[in-house]
Amino acid sequence: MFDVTTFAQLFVTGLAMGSIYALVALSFALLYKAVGILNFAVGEFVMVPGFISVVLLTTLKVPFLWAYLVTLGLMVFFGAVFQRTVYHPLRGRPFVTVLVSTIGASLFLRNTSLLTFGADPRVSPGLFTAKTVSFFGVFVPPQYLLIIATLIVLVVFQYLLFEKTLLGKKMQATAQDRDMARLLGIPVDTIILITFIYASLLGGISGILLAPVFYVTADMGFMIALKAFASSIAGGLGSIPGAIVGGLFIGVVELFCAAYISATYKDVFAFVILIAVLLLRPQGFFGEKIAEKA
Amino acid sequence: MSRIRTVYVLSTVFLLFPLLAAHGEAQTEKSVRIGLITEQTGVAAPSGERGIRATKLAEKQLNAAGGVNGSRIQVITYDNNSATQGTVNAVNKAIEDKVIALSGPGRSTHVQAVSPIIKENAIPALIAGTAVQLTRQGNPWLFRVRPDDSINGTAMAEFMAKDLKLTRIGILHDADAFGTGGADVVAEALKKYSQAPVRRERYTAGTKDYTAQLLNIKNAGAEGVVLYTTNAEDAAIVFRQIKELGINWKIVGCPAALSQVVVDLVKDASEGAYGAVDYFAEASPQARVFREGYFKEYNQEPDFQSAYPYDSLMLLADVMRRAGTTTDRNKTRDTILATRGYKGAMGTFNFTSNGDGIHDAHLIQMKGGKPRFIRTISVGQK
Repeated sequence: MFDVTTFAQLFVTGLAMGSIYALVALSFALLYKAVGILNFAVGEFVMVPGFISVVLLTTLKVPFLWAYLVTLGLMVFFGAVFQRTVYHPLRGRPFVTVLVSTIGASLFLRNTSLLTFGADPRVSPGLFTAKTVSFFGVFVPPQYLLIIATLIVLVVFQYLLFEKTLLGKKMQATAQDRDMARLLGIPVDTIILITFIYASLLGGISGILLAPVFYVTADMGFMIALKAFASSIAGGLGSIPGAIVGGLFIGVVELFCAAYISATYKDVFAFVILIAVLLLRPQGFFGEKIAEKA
Repeated sequence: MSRIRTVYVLSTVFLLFPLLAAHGEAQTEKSVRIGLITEQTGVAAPSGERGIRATKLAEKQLNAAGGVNGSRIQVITYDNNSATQGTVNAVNKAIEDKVIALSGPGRSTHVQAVSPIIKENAIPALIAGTAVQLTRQGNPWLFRVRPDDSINGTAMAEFMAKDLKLTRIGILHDADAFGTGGADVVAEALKKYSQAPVRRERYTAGTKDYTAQLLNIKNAGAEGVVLYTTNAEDAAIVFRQIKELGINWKIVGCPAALSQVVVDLVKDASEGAYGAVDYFAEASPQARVFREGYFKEYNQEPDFQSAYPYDSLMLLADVMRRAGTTTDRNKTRDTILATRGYKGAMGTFNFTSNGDGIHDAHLIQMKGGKPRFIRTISVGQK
């Protein structure tokens, strides 16, 4: 029953789904690494820009470039507001307090979107008119290719930012030891704010890219956030390469498991992988030992 | 500390808000309260909203015509969060609020969960869950306002085997009671034509990628596929991905698979697909009147998700008028069962002793983004 076209089709689709998980996991990992919070509202970081871009594109009929720029601009604002309201008042409180606060924010955003935009799913026009491009019998929607390409660009950008710029070094220093960073004259609060904005922008990019593929609903972020969470843990919590490899790994493996073992338990496989990783390599593929983080 | 307390208080208020809101509208004098059990939040909220709109429309029309037996109709909406536990809570609350009858729950799984509560409290419930066994479990208070799955599923199988002359049929279905029950009926009905599905695949609600399932069905050599999907978003993605994978199937969808929400989302990808539907705007004068009223009110095409809640409320009002009561649940129950030839938007209601009201499936095909009527298949009316 094995055939190469099917295998290739599954691999490419898995890679695209994995890239989505990876993009969201990147936002998740970044906030964990730099600020030390688990952001359970990360799904809403995708849903909110999804709605913004749909409204701009379909209701207000703004051209693509402007719609995307305005969406990202609003996400800068969103990240800042999120930092001021959800994180800042509770900074220095126990880890769990902030975690609960992000869960609250997630519920708030989901229900507000439901009230504002209603329950009907929205569809966003994509950049591409072609439905699929095909190579040797493998069909790929161009949007999937864009998602994969965007992931690659962002990975390079993030590497350059963290390793080659002063801002990136400051962000890393803040992540490693906030008190020490403050003593060295790094404006820690500002750096944290920038980190939130960057995480929010990553969500914004994911939301824009996902809107034409997944349909925008108030609950669209939920499953993506769970998978991103699993990716992030599998890759090593707080590890940037871990989030990316974890995301791609889960995207591809869950699809192969679904095709060759059982499609019914597709979602289960992602979490079976997660449990297996936690048992065999608790620190994830790339992570530090979790015990050290506690 | 005080800041944390504020956060807790605020979140508590926020979480309780829906309950408060439902209570707030509950008190008016001389009114007949009817509880609408539906999905305002959660994964099935899109279809729930259509039902709420239609029910509100029926309420408005009934009250504009003077209500029933001198009382105003008052619909109270109870959100079930698209969840079984939520449905149990919603029904319990409705009973506390002393509603005379329930419109809903709409889903088999949810009906199953609240059936004992409904029986114990002896409250008529106009359900829309289509799993066959719901009305065969000795609960005299359940009345079905949609054709059950044995009807749609049997009609779909007959249509595929007889009209489309397909011999290799695959099935893709939601793993919930609706999808699984429906797929079982299709598989069973295919036996009559000496067929078995070449492949059956399932998925859980909210799945975003169906490549694995679709390729498995394709590799089994299917020429056509039955879609037994529960939620609109899922069905829309399935239609789109079938096209994206370049698969050329004859598709026959269950009523939920070709609902208006789906067609609005994937006009192109659903082109040419067939479907068995419970409600069709061109099927009868009543359906047309309903369609016009709904369109005028909401500027949106209604589908069956709006038609059955509309019929439920209209039927209840008619029943109470005929029974001459707005309080006696036993009389209401007997009068529902005695209903013959009541014409609603869904079709003609003839209740069997089990409490099944409707027995037809309408087959349609999507052409140019619009459903075209093919034929009605009547199944086993006893």
